[in-house]
Amino acid sequence: MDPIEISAAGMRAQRARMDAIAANLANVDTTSARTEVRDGEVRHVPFRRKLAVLVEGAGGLPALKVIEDRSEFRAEHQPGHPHASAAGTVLFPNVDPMVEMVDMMAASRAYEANLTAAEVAKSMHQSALRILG
Amino acid sequence: MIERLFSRGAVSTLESMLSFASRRHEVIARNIANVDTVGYRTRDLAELRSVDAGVLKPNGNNVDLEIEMSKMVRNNALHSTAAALLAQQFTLLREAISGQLHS
Amino acid sequence: MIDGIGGLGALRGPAAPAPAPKTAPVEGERSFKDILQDSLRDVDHLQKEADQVLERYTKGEVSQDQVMVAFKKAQIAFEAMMQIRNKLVDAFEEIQRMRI
Repeated sequence: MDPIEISAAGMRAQRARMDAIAANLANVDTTSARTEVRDGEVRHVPFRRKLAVLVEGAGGLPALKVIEDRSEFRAEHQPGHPHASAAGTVLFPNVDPMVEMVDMMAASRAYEANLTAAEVAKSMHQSALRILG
Repeated sequence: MIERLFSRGAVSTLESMLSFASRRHEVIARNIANVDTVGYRTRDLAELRSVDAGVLKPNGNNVDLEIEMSKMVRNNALHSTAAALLAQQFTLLREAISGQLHS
Repeated sequence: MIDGIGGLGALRGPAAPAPAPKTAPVEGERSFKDILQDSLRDVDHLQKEADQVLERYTKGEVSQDQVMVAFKKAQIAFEAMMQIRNKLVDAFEEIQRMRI
């Protein structure tokens, strides 16, 4: 396989991962992503964090799997809040901005590394062209 | 008879170096692409018989980005050196054959 | 014909008047014809190999530098063969001039 294709797959995977992290960060305060009816009451369901996991895909290339983080929503007592329940509880998304930022930096670094590898592959192609003279 | 021009000495060695460097870059690129892949272990060319020494992360991945990047830089230098020397060897052969200097 | 004049050394041109050419090659000596035919075979072989490497490259089985090397070798072989042919023709013409 041409190494440029390999690095391109790596870049795509890290980009998709960064998109998921960006979506998490954008929704850190989304206390009402959807509503549901429970016990005869309309409840607001906050945004649930998405986890971007890289798994080994076809041809030994990384593939992205997006799964939902099933950890608990943070509950706060704020009776005046527009999305509070009858009991006055507001559920907040299970997104920790610090965790997302650290993830984002790791993904960004990995993306750059793949980009460098692609540039090296390109330079090797050009180097080989000189053999033809 | 003509083929013997290419089988002795520098040309043959340089060709091997070039092939080695190309193959190794593919492996390194694969390691870098899989730096966060669950369960992935660092690979290298079989003939290097290297020992898997990377620190194992919680997701079962042991790719060390710094090590892979420095391997890649050294390998790239090997490749460009082999390519340049091979190009020069071919030029010398052509000059010897034609009895003229090529620029 | 030109058979039997001698090996590669003769390609540089005869240093002394050449002996009358024999019609059959002497055992142990290689004729110009043999040398030219060998080089034609080599050129053909290297060109076929270059074609095969190119096809394997399109299938992703070999790297780009192997394609470059294969084609360069084919080119050099061709040039070598042309030089041999040219020297052969030069030597033949030299001998023709001597006969006059």
